Amino acid sequence: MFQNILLATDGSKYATYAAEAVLGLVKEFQNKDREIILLHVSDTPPTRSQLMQADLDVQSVLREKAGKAVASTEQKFAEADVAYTLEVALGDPADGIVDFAKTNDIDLIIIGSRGLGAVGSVLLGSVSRRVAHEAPCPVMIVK
Amino acid sequence: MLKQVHELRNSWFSNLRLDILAGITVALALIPESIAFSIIAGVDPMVGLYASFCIAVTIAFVGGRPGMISGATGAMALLMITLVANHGLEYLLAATVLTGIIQIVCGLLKLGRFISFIPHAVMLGFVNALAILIFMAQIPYFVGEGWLVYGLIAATLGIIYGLPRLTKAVPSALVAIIVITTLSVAMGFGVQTVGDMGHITRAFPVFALPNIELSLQTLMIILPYSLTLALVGMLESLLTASIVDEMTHTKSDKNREIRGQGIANTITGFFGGMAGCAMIGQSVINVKSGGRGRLSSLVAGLFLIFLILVLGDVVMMIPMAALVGVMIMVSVGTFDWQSITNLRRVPIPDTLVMVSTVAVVVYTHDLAKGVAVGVILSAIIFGWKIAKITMAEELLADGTKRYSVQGQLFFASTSKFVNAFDVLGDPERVIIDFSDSHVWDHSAVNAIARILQKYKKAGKDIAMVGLNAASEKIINDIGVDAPSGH
Repeated sequence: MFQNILLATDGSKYATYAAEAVLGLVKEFQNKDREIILLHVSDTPPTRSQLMQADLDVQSVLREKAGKAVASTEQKFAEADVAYTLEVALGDPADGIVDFAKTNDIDLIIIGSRGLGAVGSVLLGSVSRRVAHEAPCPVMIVK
Repeated sequence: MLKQVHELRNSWFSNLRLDILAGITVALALIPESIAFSIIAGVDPMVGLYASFCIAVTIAFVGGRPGMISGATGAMALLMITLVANHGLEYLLAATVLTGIIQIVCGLLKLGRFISFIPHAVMLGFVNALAILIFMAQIPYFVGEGWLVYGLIAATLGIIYGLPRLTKAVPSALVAIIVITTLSVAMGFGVQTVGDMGHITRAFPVFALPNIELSLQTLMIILPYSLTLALVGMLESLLTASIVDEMTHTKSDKNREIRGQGIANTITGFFGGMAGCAMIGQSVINVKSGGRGRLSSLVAGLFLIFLILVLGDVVMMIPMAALVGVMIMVSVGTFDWQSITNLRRVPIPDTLVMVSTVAVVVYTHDLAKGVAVGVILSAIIFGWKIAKITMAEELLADGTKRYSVQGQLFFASTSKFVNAFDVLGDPERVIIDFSDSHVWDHSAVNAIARILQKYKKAGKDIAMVGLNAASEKIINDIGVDAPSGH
């Protein structure tokens, strides 16, 4: 999928960081020890009945919700025989992603360029743009 | 000591700027619902506004979940309707104080974790009934009020549901109210306003003892209301706390929160406010706006009273149609739509409990009665299910007869147990196998004792096998040698 890679550079400080990132990426993807985490951030709190059925265990409700939302992704990973862990969070998606990256020493965030709200993303300044801006690590936005 | 100072600073001032900004946003979001819920409860709008002010400020200091917002809520307002209608505001204030005292006791006794003992089906019924009642409470304000009012309600709903698609920076309900109020004043619509419902006093609340007769009779009037208010308030607060915990990746002190809710309600009652509890919607707004510390709740309360002092006259101009729109949104958001789609998957008895709870509430307009019916029905169904025991009998190779008990042995299932034995027809040696059973109470032990007695009288050998440790203990404690006369 990534045969021809363009590294845009002007020799500046950040361009050098970008070059190092490319080298790191090429090396890392041959490394079997790297860890892949799927993160699903839910925007809306669970309903009262969901909470009560789960005995106030919000995590388990979020996990069930995430499991449904990313079932096809999980299947793709399984078919490709790539190990991963699924993590969940509740709150504003951009905040949730950035917070998770900060607290878990994440080295690279990969995110789609636009989410479910096609209209919203045009007007809101999408989640991916905010993540790119606020993340503590490199962000790859996939178009 | 140093640790306490550090903790104090952490929970109050570690997030200064965002806590203040989030608090202001929350104060704006508190206004519409505080007013609307007062009107639902049948009291002056100030009662709800003072409640939200007092509770938000008090909880900031004594709550167990920093970042959570509490105030006058629909769940609580709906429990008060009949009390206010039959006895008036002063009894509501007294009931609010008593609610607080009950919650303080529950907090001190660490009863928070028992809240999940309420059957889910009853809670579902309660929530759905709540949504239906909020909606029904709006009907008098729009049915037959003409196309202008219908139009204003539709416009309110349009803004409430449309605006979040464009921006989530401002609470859409508040924008809707501002737009509709401006429109209504500018065009001189002359529709019913908040001012027609009661007066907005531009003043701080003052301390006063509820003006009631201190008697046992008064207590018996307010106690049932206070008990339900305390219970619902605790439940809502624990639900909200669990959501805020997850959103902020921090733990809350549940029992401190319950005690804090109690202190807040007690103080509120003395300052002319109605009982309240944690608010899911406003708490989510607070956390999403960056509010994390105790300061956010304090700022929300203070800014709310500031707005009332400055803008009291403007608040009176809000058309009822705009509030009706907000309440319809609250109602739709409260109803558990999943419980309808899940109807086919949920066991029929659970559905029966849920539907009965809703039906009783809608018929009597009394949430407490609905919950009571739901709990009793659940208990009966549970008892009926669990009281089913099966007795298997088998003649073993050596001529011994074995009775195998399957199910829970307690007061409701003993008669079937006793009737299964054929003392006279049985062989000389009999064993009772309790491997798939549990002996629960005095009645069960007595029943066993009676059976043992009968076989001994008939000169036959009888033994018990397969008792689990708990069953064995209760049997030994009570004793099966001489049954007490039943």
